[in-house]
Amino acid sequence: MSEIYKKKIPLLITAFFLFIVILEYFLAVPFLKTVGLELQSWAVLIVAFAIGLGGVNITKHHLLRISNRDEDWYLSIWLLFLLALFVVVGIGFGQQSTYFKWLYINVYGALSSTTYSVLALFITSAAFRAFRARNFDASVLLISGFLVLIGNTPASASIWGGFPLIQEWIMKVPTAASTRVIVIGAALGMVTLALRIITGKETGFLGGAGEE
Amino acid sequence: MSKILREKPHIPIYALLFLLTALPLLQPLGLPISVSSTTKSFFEIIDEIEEGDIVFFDINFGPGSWPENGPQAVAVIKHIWAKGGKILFFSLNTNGPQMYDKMMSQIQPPDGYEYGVDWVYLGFLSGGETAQAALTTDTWSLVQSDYLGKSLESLPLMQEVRSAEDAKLLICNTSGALAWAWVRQWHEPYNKPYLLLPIGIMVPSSAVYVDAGQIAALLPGSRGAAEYEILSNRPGEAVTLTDTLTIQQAFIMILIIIGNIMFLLERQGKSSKNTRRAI
Amino acid sequence: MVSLDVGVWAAALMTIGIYSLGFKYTKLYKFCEFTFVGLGTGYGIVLAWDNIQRIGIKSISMGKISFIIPMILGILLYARFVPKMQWVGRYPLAVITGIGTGVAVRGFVQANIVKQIIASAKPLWGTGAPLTYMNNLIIIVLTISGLIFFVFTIPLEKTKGGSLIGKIGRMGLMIGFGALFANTVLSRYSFLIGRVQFLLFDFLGL
Repeated sequence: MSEIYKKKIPLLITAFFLFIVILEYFLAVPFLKTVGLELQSWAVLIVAFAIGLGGVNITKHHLLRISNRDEDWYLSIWLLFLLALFVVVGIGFGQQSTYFKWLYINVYGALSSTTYSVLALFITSAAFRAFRARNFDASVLLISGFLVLIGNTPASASIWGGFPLIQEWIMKVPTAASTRVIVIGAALGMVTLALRIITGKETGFLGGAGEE
Repeated sequence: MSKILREKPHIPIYALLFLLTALPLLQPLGLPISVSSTTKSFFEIIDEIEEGDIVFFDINFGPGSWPENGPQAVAVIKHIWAKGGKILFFSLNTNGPQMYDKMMSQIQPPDGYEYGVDWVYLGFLSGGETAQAALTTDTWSLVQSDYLGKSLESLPLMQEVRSAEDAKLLICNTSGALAWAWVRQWHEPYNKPYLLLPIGIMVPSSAVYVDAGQIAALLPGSRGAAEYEILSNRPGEAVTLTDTLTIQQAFIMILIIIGNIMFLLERQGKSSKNTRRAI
Repeated sequence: MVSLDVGVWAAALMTIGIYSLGFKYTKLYKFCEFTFVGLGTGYGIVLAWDNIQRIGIKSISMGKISFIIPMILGILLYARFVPKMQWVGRYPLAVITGIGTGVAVRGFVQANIVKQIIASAKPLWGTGAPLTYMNNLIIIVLTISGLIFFVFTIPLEKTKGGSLIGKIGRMGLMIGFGALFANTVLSRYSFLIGRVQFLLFDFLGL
């Protein structure tokens, strides 16, 4: 009995809503359109609640680190303090407040920007250490990458007008073809996943809520 | 020296990279910039906007990718407003609201332009592709107020916008997420132009959609932004990066060449040792 | 002249802390890591609350009573943290998975399969420039060979010419990855320029 309301009914609900949303797209029935739009709004609202799940998980994890006195547990106190501070400032003072913007621009924004850019260092040292023409495939990759690198350089056209043209050709012809292969493959995978969800064979998305 | 380069090459490489990045910023070289056909295509589409045309604009990036996405957005928005277009902004990325504020601090709306009449910002909308679908079907279905809490009824622009049918085109300014979903939720159902402002990493993946005509045009990263600023005669943040980009790209190309020369020499050395052993 | 702004100093400290990872995994980097996670999570919660207010509470107050259902379902998501009630959290998950997957997949077939196959079917002769038809031939050959390369259930080496088709497909993919590498370099260097600009002009005041 518990198997029915803990597993079978959620799977039925998933398949039902998936079916309705797909039908709404292909059939010009006003009632279905209204229902479809309403369901999409529901999903958007539920996802807003889901964003908070991450916060609860992180809080739980770091409270555990603090109580177990794990390595650098004091950093977990700092993390939870900042989390609470940002939430209080954001909800209490508003996103337009000076305090919120100060924290966002000077701390979070700086961290985010630097994290994105630190890969520039690793990609440079990796290009020197590992980007080698070891075999035919690696040579093709190297030559293609090199030609596009030259073409991407803003001043390359002043050296030779052909560099940007070669770069454009590589992007428009072989790159488009190879990416198409990946796009079609991914789309086939997505359609298969949807069929598995409709038939109730895919249950992985429910597993995270516990086995009870 | 070659031992350091082989065993701990990252230290001199990082130091050189920082130096080569800083020097052109302190002393610009004024290197020439050419404009690609990709940027020209994008420019021509925006140039066709007429007064009163409405553009949907998705601010879908965070502070990390501002050096690429930011100048793209600023250059394109200035052009749209110069043509008399109106913009409905929204964000499907949580960082969107802060990026919108930063963008607006750099753009001076044309004389006579007023918030609520010529542009509106709906704020962050959760839900990803589901939000895209709802927004294009009925723009009023998700939120009843804008980013600042003003009701949509009080905003004259929103009286002209009910769905994607009321818009001329969509621009997605993104660092990755949901760019391809717009092909499914905007271009396929409504057959309207979809323009992409991606970071450089996304350009190869976008090529397939451009080839299929599903993305009408794109502006490739910071280089595209610089080219756009030149085409529209409004030099901005992106143009200041190009000298440094040129030097940096030259640096990594030299490193790749040196690395491969060292590799070939090592391989030759090993094969001649093996030949001597065989003899 | 070096900035006296506390905010600029905070940003500079964070920047240098993250860059220290390039040389060694330092305590400063770990401090910055924890700061990033704490603030990022807090920021997400603020935005989530904003959306719940604007989409949920405001809509209900304006008469859209049906929005009470997703509000309840959203709250039920948190049942996963209550032992013995964890199965309740499956219901809202089921709803958003069904709707989200439906919205995504209904466009996939048309946009990512049909339209892509149509785009691959390019003309091989006509009155246009010969280079165009050569490009079209390359696109067709690379697309078909790439798709065949990914069919791992048929061992290509055993079929006549199969290994050649596989090699051509792989070569096309290598060209694409080379282009991806070059564009990744362009992007990351642009981001690096942004931070160096901050350090030079905003922090050091040069």
